[in-house]
Amino acid sequence: MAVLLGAVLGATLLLPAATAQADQDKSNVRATTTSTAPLASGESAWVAVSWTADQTVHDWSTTVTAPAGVAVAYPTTRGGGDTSLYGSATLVGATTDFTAFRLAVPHAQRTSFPVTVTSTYSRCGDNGQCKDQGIGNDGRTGSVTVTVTVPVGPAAGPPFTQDTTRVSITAGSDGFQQLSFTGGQADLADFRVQVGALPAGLEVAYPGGRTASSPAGGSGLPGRRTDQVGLRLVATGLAPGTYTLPLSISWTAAHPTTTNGTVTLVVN
Amino acid sequence: MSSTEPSSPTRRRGRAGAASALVALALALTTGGCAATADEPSTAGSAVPGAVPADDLTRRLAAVEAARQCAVTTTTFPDETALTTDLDDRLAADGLSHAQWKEWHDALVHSPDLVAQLVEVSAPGCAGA
Repeated sequence: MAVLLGAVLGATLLLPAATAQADQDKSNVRATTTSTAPLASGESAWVAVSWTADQTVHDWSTTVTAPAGVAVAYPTTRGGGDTSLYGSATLVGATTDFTAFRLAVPHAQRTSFPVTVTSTYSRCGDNGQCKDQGIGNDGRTGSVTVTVTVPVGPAAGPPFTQDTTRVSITAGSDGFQQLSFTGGQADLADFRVQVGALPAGLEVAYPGGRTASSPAGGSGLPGRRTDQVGLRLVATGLAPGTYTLPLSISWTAAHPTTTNGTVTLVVN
Repeated sequence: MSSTEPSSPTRRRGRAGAASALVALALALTTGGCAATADEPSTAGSAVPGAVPADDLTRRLAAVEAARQCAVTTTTFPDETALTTDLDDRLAADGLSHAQWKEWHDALVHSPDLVAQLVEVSAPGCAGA
């Protein structure tokens, strides 16, 4: 019995060392990617960084620091101040999960750049779980910071696509018609559409009394998103038939650009 | 079984019980009183209360998740919802729903068998990685 008690007391005396060992972060949280998906100059998009760990960690939070000119945004569901893992804030040990964030690359950014990604986490859940794992106040949280490369290349494909190429109206009508456009890979600023030479009997007006029409969602046409521009067609003097209306479409990417387009107007 | 049961019939068994209790106390103190210590891999053990067993359905969900994890870092998404649309498209292609995935994903944290299955399904790694 005395020997047993001695062993017990000996083990108890080792308690501080054992607790200190438990306080060491052995979760081995680490990023499994060194670069994000490539972005184009002028593109804004969500990208992801993957993480894994040997042990389960909780309350995951990630923030990203990017070079000047590159804007970072986080999910609105978390208030916009940080991002977390997809589906939960827990990274289960031995599994992989990712954090997503939005990067807006300026048109002037032509080369790859690094972002600093910092993730913080709790090694145990609530106070009871921390106590159960022998983790004191000082060891409850951990963090890891990695540098991830964001490859950048030129935008591929056309700067935008004109989705609406044909509009039908009734003779003598006066109303707004919507022309739909979808952005290419990069964001286009100051996107404007103006109708050129008009057939006799047709007048065109623009929203707000302006000289051209901009997308309904804002002045620009974001990459890979669809928006509409409104044209008021006053056809009170236009005979039934099919007309080709010339369009002047302008935007600013790396520099201001204007191109010509057409829309077919069918008057019934 | 508790070694300090008051119904222990003999003094010898009582002493043995007391000694066992001391050992248990010491072990509880040194391990934080938890069956699984912080040093153990989270996938260890299978008798976890509330754990979801692995089956064919969870294997299919794990396969979708593994493929998505491989693709997500090489893909850009035009908006926030596109991340979920991508997942849902992958699930739908295998006749699975987002609700099934969410239930499975939430169960991972307390289901060692699901984690082991996901690790197994993910073991081949990502093509081209």
